[in-house]
Amino acid sequence: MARIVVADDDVDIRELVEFKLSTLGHEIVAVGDGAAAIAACQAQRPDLAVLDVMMPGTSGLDAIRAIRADPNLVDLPVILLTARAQESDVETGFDSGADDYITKPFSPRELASRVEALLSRSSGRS
Amino acid sequence: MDRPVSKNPGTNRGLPKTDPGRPVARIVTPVLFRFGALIVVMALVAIVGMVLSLRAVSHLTDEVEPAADANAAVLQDLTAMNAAVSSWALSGRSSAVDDYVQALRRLPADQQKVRQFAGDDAELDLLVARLEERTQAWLDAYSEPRIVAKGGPGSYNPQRFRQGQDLFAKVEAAHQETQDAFDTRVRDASDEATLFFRGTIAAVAVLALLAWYLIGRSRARLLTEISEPLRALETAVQRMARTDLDARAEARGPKEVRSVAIALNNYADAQGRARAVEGRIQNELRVLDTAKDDFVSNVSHELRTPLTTISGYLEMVAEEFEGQLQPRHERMLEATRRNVTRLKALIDDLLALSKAESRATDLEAADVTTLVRDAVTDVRITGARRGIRVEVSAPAEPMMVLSDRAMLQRALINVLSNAVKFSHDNGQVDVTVKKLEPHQVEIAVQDHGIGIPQIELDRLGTRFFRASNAVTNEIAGTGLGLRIVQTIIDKHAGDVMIESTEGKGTTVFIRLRLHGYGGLRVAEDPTED
Repeated sequence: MARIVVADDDVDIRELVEFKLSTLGHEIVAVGDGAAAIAACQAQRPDLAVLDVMMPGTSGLDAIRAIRADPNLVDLPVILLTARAQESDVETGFDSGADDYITKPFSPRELASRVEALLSRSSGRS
Repeated sequence: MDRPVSKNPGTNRGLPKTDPGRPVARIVTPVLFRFGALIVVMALVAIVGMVLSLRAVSHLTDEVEPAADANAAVLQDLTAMNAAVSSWALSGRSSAVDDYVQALRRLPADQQKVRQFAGDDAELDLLVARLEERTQAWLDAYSEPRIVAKGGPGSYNPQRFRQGQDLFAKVEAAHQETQDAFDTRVRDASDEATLFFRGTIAAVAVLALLAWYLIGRSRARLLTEISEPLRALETAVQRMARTDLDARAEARGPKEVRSVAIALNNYADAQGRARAVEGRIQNELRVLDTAKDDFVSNVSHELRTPLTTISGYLEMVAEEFEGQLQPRHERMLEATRRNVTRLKALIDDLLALSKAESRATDLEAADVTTLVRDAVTDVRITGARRGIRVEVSAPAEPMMVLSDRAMLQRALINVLSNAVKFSHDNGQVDVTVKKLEPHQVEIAVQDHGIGIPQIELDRLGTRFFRASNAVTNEIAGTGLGLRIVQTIIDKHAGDVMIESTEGKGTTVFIRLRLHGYGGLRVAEDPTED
């Protein structure tokens, strides 16, 4: 049972991810933009974050950079979601500090298994 | 506007516009005329000199010398007469008288010749008159009477003899003077002839030297006025040809050369304008291209977002109701999921096609065999699910081509996945990489599946076209796959060929130029040069 921050500006996708991950028994904090995602991570100290890349205002990439810059959050596992699947975008995603990168449309089952993989990896560490 | 603005700034520099220059004919003609005149003068001088020389010579040979000869003949006659008289006086023989008479007969004619010539010459006339006087004195006082008188031994009269000698001596003296005068005149005439002859030659020689000097000056003048402007023009043309874009020819020299220079400048200006237009068009194309890329990228992003929700929830619903649905509901769900997958594939392909159609960038040398093996790896798993094997045969040495790796990879995957898709279960797909002489590499992907109907082969590359047997066999596809392959291979300056027999199988051939032997060059963007 983990606390997961989910950020996406599309309400349906947000709910979809919330549905799937809460079915697995996790506590979900859902927000709609990058700034809220950073605030939620700092306030709630989640175990994992799922961030959409294309968000208005602060993008997922800016959010992840801010998160990595915070000494308290530097080890937070982050999965990026995006509709852009160019090689360059993937590289940028990983370069900014993401632990995983999933392209839309994605299979919720796939997302769930990656979340579990990251959670078990990081809980094994701590 | 208080200052007039020149219509063609930058052209025709160096000279006021109003000076059109002299035509080449106007420059050359005076020179030629000068030479013509000089030649005429030389000819005239030569002719006149020759005529004068000839006249002098003929004066000498036809007048002076015969007269001199006649004068000498007079002396001969007189001497003969004197000798005849002496002989008559000594021998008294009548043959002496005959000699005398003969000589006497010749005398007047010779004297006449001398007189004729001397008539024009006052000094000579005087001398000849004196000679004739003395001759007549000798004739009258001595020779005539003596020849008539008795001759032979015993007729000698010393006083008479002495008188005769004196008179003849006077004649001889007078003749000597005359002969001297003649000699002088012969010499003078000869000198005159020689003078004329030499003078003519000298005059012609001087004129020739003058001509030589004038040629030199004219040559220098023509070089300056014609050759030099032409050479300057040639230099300007060469500068322009070496893409010195701002170079312009100077409009100077003869009229024709100026016209050429002006025409050349106008041409260069037009070229410059055309280049500017071309540059603007290139920029616009680039802007349009970027706009298109952005548009396609944005659209695909917008399409993928709702698709995420649709496909995500479909999956979750199917999971939650697994085993609980009636067959017809199962089929409904299945059809829906299938078409969501189709939508996904369409968006992916459209994006790929758009990217393939835009300019090729990120070119690097890559080994075809490696790319093929990587693509095969991707596709092998899909094939394995239906028992389809993929076999690769390639040469040991690397086959390097200049390519956009991601794009080429995409094309190969498309071809391979088609081959797998259209194969029968448990079939085999054969991939061959081989070198084609002289500088090409060929990738052949052969399947033994459903093939393509002959009549539909031509339309295969068109957008969204799917062969009828693919559709009837319900094989999934967007109809864009081959178009993507074709576009990518075109961008790589290669060829795609398809051979197929319906029911037997299909072989797709991709031909690319080996790196370093033509085909693509790194600076594909023409605005980069």
